[in-house]
Amino acid sequence: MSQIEVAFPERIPARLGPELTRRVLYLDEDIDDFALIEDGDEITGLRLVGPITRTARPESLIETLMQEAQGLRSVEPKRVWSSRRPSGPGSGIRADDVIRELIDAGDARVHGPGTISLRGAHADLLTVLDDMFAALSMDVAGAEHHRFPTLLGTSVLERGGYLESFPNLLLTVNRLRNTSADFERFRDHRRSGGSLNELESATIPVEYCLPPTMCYYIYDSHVGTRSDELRVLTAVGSSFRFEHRYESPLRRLWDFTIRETVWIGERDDVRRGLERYRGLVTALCDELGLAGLCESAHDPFFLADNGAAKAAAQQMIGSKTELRLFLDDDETVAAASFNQHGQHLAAQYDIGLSDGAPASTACVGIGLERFTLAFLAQHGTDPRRWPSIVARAVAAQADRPGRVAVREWVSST
Amino acid sequence: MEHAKILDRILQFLAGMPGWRGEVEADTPILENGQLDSLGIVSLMGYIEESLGVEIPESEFQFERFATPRSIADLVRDSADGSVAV
Repeated sequence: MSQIEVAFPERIPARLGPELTRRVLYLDEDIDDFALIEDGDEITGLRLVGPITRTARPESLIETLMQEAQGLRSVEPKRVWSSRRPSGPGSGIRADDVIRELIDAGDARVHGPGTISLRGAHADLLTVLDDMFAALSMDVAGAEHHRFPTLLGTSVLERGGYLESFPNLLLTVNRLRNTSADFERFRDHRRSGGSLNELESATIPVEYCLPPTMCYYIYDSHVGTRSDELRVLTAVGSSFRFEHRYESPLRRLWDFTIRETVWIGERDDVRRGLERYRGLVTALCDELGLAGLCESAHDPFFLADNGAAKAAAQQMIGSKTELRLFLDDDETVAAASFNQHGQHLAAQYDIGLSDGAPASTACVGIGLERFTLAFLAQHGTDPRRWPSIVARAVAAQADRPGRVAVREWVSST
Repeated sequence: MEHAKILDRILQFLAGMPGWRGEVEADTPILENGQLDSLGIVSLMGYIEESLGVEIPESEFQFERFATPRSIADLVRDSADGSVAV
């Protein structure tokens, strides 16, 4: 394994380390690992490990990285909530131990890069946590419940500008061209031991992508509508984002579950709705005894036009805040994000107020696997040690009305 | 450079932004009331750079400096190295 060190043309404040870390592995597929080289409270360079050192000019990658880091240097995150439960040394929070325990016991299984499954009470835990957020969305915020398909039309993502803003996260869906000649060619190719990856000429342009989040279905469902009334909608579903660094199961998944809630309407109504929901989620975290914080953040724009300026502006005005829960004494994971889009997305999807002006939109996305991981890291894997509100709900999963009804029906026949 | 002219140009730009809602005056708290969102800031920065010929340094990316049209005009004036193309 080869290794190379590259000095940055200028020193970067150490607090931007997580920002740089987030981006480094998207620079080149051949970067297997890396370390930031620190000097006091500054980062002076990068140590890269992997075939990258043979196949590309690291200096050009550093140049890209520097452009991405621009604009974030002076913007400090603004904290809007800190948990009642403290964190820090002696917290006893250990995500790595918990993941190992789950895998060793067979309660979690890593199926490949970025994919993991849970079983039994730990799978039920994720369902129960989602039920709690669903209750906040539907029963408190008055959201309408939706169930969306997994395949999302590429044109829907194109319309929202996702392809330009987050090309690094995109996962697409492909299929063979529907001709007997192509199917025959495919069969012969496979019979001779050929790989799927060598069949580009037999596939058709990408019609569908895997959804990076649920809210695009919601905007697509409202194209061309006009209303001043506040619309609140919620959905849960599988979401997909490519993450190069997958060796930390549950932290960064390609395939994960989001509970998403969206507000569409007049600016002040939307903002109030989002802020109230954020208050409810953070209060629920306190109720569940979770250590965390909520602070201003920005989207992971990467190589997008004005990406650094957009990120800095988001962070400056607090249009995006993230709920971060502790995974150990100092590491946190973003378990939820609260986003105000202004009129931007409504303008893209032609969603208007009654006078024709674009509506305002906002959304909350809660990453259920990450939330579950943080919960387990903080409360342990034994359901008897979980807060009673959760333990009771997990125990009651077998008594959900649908299951009880079917059990009774089977036993009566 | 004339602060009043810079302010005037900024007010004109903001009022002409697609989808801009509500009145805007020199001391309207456009960040706090949500009139100016993050993409609006990026557009405004582009306008300041291209039309007024002033580049805003990263160190000035602070909430207070973008809080009102007047504070933005102050920022443009303070950041100008020489003249402002008003």
